Amino acid sequence: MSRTSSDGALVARARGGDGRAAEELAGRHVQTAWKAAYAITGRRDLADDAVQDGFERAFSALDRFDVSRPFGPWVNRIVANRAITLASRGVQAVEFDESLHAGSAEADLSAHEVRDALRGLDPDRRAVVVLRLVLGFTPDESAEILDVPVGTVHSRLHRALADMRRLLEVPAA
Amino acid sequence: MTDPVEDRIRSAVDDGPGPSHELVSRVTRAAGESVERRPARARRGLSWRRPLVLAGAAVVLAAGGAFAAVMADRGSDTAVPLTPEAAAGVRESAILARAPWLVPGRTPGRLQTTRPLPSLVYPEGTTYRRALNRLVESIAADGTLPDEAMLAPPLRNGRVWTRTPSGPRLSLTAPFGWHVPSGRIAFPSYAIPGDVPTDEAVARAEAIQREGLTAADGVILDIPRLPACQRLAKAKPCKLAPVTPAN
Repeated sequence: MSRTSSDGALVARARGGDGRAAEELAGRHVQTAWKAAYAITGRRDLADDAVQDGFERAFSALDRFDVSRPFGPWVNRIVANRAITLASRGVQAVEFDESLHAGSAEADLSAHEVRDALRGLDPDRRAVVVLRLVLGFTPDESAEILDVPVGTVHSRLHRALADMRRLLEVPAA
Repeated sequence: MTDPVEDRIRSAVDDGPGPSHELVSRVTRAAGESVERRPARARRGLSWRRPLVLAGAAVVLAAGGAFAAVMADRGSDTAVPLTPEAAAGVRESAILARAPWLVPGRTPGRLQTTRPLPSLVYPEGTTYRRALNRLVESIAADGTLPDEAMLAPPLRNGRVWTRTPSGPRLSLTAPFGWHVPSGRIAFPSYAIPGDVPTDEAVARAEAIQREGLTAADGVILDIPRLPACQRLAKAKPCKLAPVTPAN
């Protein structure tokens, strides 16, 4: 497999039953998807579940993927949706809570502060922050994913950033 | 001009924790297997997600709750929907055929009166949620236990899910937990997110009963919240009431 194969080429091969192409495609996007899921859920076990379920759904629906569009946002959208659902069920989730930055000893204090502040946001606002700023979805796309009006996306992001500035003691931009 | 707070958020997430190697390996391997086995699935006429369907389920909408639950009906043949092939697999299984959470009897299964079944040892890193999903998927697919899990002796003292040196272990006697103190063994159930309008939730639940989970996106296997005494090896065992004809 060429390392320079485009996502579209890998999708085409995967649709033809090429397992190695599917593995390479998944490997390219799993990191970003997981980090977004982790930022949304704040829990490693839920992020794992969101990614596993999301990729499972994505690859089982590969025939329905529009190859004229980029693959990354498509799979990220599916994983983010799962993460939002799981995060909304937080109290029903089992297992062992861990802090958002557990296991990231290399991260500096500033990054820890930001992640802690992110974790302190209301889940709805946190999801908007991740969709808009981390995954780069447009307001329209974010609204579709969250099933809310575009205006709600704008207001949640505005309030989330205001909360973040307050928590991080940064003056308003 | 970019907002410095926005930049800090992006950096903090980008530079933050990443998935474990084990998870990446599992996800990529599953992606490969998924596309390779797709023709076989198509020949069988089965959906990959079909395992999560409940045959003969009763629909219960939790009034005012966050979720609409789709719960197993004890009158069903099994608490997991089965194709004829999968049903044959369950009947032939010395373990599954007598699992009270899967094949309901005339009276509710009780921990006190159920002969303990073996446990399943899953690969390191498997979460309880994942273990339950894989168990249900595998049974509904062909009436067998998950390939990646190994059989081990029964868990003791009413444990349901616990960490052991050989890996996380799931009880096959009561994988969805049991009621304290009655000992009643729980069935699998499914949920629809609470932001789905009621009419839509009812339609989805009916579609699951009729056509399977693939007919309704957003329906997920309910993962019970286990008390410490059912999941922590060092916790005191849960209290169990004596079984009497009255209860």
